[in-house]
Amino acid sequence: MNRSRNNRPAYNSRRPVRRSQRSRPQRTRRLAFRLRWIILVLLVIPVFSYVSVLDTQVRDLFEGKRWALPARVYARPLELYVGMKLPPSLLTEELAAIGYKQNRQVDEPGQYYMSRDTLTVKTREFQFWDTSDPSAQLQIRFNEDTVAEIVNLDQKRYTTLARIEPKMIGKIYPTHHEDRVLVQLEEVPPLLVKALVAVEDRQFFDHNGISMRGIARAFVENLKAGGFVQGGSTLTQQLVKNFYLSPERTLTRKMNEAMMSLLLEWHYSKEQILEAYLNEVFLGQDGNRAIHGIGMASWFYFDKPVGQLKLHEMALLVGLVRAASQYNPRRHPERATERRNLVLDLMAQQEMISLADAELEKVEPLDVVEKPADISVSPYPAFLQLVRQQVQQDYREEDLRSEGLQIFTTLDPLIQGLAEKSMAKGIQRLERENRRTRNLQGAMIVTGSENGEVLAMVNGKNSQYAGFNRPMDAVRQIGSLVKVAVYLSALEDSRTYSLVSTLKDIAYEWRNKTGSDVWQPKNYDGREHGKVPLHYALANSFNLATVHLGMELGLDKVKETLKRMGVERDFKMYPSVLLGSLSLTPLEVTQMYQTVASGGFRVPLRAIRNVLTHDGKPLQRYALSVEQRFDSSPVFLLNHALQFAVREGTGRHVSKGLPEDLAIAGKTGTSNDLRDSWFAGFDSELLTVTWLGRDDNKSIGLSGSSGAMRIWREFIDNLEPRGLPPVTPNRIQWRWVDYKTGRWSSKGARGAVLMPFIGNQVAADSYSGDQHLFKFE
Amino acid sequence: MQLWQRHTLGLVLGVLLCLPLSTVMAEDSKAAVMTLLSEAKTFFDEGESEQAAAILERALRIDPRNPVLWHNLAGIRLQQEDWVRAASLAAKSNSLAVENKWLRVRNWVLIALACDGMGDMDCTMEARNRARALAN
Repeated sequence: MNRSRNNRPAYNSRRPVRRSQRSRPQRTRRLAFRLRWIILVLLVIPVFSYVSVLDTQVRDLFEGKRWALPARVYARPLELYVGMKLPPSLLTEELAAIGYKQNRQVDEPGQYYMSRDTLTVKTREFQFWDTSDPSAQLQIRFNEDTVAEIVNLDQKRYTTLARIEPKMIGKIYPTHHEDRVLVQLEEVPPLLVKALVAVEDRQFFDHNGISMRGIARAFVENLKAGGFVQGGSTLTQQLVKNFYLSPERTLTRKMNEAMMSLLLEWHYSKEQILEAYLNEVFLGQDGNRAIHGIGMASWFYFDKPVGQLKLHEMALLVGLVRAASQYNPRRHPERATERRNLVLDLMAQQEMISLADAELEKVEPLDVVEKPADISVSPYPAFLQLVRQQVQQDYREEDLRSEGLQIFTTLDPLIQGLAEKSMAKGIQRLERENRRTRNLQGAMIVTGSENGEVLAMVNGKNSQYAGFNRPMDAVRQIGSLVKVAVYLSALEDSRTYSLVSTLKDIAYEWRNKTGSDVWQPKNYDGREHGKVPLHYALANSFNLATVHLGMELGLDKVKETLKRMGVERDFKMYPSVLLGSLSLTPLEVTQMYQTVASGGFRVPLRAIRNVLTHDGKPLQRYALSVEQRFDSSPVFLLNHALQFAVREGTGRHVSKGLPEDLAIAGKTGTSNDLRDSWFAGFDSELLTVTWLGRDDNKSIGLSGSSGAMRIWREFIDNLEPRGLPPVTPNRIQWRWVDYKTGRWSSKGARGAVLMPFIGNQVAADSYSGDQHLFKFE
Repeated sequence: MQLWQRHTLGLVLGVLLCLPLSTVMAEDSKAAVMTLLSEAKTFFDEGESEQAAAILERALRIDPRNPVLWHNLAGIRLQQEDWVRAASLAAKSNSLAVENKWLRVRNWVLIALACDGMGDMDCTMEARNRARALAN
């Protein structure tokens, strides 16, 4: 009470004083307090939103990070089997083309050694569409040009077949031209990772994204050097810089970089960051292609996967991280060696390797492959365009450019090489021999007769030419190649026509309705041959006999046959079409002849076998598919007459000396004024369509047999095909006839040849071409 | 699918990929094709029919006119109920199986089943008649 009483006056008495003394500071303090809050709020809100924006950005990009990977396009894998005809030199050529090295030891995948008649090779593991083939050490013994024996040395047993990984023939790049092969951290040799950390960011496993010690050290170093010699960036910062930010050097960017590095470290493990770094880092430039990531760099510089790198090769790659262009081992091998050795020294210093090992590795050559087998420009631009055209029917352009699809095509580099050589040499020779022949160009397409796979596609005399794609886009008159449709239309009517039916090879005149337009075709030799058997007219490509036959059959019927053969282009049917006033591309002609080469089955031409995802998961298969368009018997008859065309008819001069057992059917074609020279030839295995002409459509002065067929002959001589005999349908019966007159003859008589006929007595035993049976469309 | 159809399909597929190689096959590549055929059979038995088809296509690249390979490919398409393709592939096999009557019978049975799958009764009847005529 007292206290209170005492206190109160005291309180009261002091109150005014207090009020006068304390009121101002209190107010100020309160104000300051409020101000502090306001400032804090004002500061925290933007900082918070700034950090939160960066945080979202960091997480979204890192988690959703999908590097744009180029699509990789492969040739067919080489399938080796016992009994296969394959000169050893072609096998070593194929191995060299996929980056295999000749080495006596053959202890690493990607090495081979040829001694006398035996080739030892250690294949690389490869994921195909159907199976994953492990690496295998194989011993292949040859008997001259034939594979006689294959031994799997790992399993110590004989094997009947083996598959060699395919050659990469092109890539479809992202728009920014970055090239990379993704790797997972466990695929990368630990020593490489350790070396990278030692060189680029020693405190990587200790810091939280930013290293104050690193910055301080860089500052001191730069001060000493009087300029910028060392950056204080951690690996995380470098990754952030490449991943998220533009390359300019501003304070804002630096701040963002630091903050994002902290956030990245906050959210993700060191291993995740390291893996991303290894895939992101820039390690070289090849024309306009940028080499990113350790996986791609390993192929680019050493032509092997990252798991197979030797110590000094790892050191070189680590050395390149700092400045890939400056230490480019192809351009500046000395600088690169110096840099590599510095990395090796550092590795020894950090006790990752022994000093002795470092010294040993330092004397190794750089071992960088002269030219990357992993090409930036495809050696087969024309074929690649066909692949793109076919693949674009199923995939979006952006997916092709960024999903890292692995596209396995049908291209056979060995056949392609022979075809290119035949075209280049052939054109050169023809131009030398014929004065009128200048600026000659050409196209050649080779397909599998039965499966329609495009094995080779040649565009002109210079196969590297990436401009006008003649096989796909040169729409040219096909001349007498069209005649097969006329004769096939006739032979389908087996009650009326056979190979010995008599045709009239006499003058023909066609007038339009008003009579103003007159068409009077002539034979190539300008003569009329009177009555001739059908096979003889076709083999010798008589125009007059063909026109008479075509008009007898009806233009609509011939047009329908052309459509059934696979001509999809729309065209108007005039009598002149019977002699080839129909314009098609070499590819369209190939599709048309494919149907007769495969015995009457339409087989769509395919350039792609299958597609895998970037990590080897099967995505899509372009399966073999056929559709019967003609009964096999009339097609057999037609093909038999086409064999006469090669041996006895228009092709007789060019086919001289061809092996007797080679049952090759073919047809020459020449357009008006000798502007186009064609030859379509096939056997049981391959179909080849060859075209020669000029880009400006001027005359080349060559017929089908004096031009295109000679190029084809050169190709066949180089290829030496197997010569499988054609399969004779059940309804076929053979009789001896006189070749020129078509009259019955007997064995041994002069001019007598065996001629196939369609017999009726066995009709029930064979598919008759009955249309209602296969109307499946 | 009716019971008899299931039964016939089962019969066809049961012997699929076990067919012996025909005599028209090129001698030199016989062993390699046999290996692939047996690989294809393993995949087929494991239900990996597309894998089996891919391997049969590999074999056809080595021996393009082998009617047994074409027939087996047709059988795989039949199992996948890809009727049109199955019938066409069987017709292809037929065009090559000139010396193998038994295989041609099988092909016509296969075509009959494919036609039935398509609901084309005329085609089914005709194919069945062909099979019967050949078998007798």
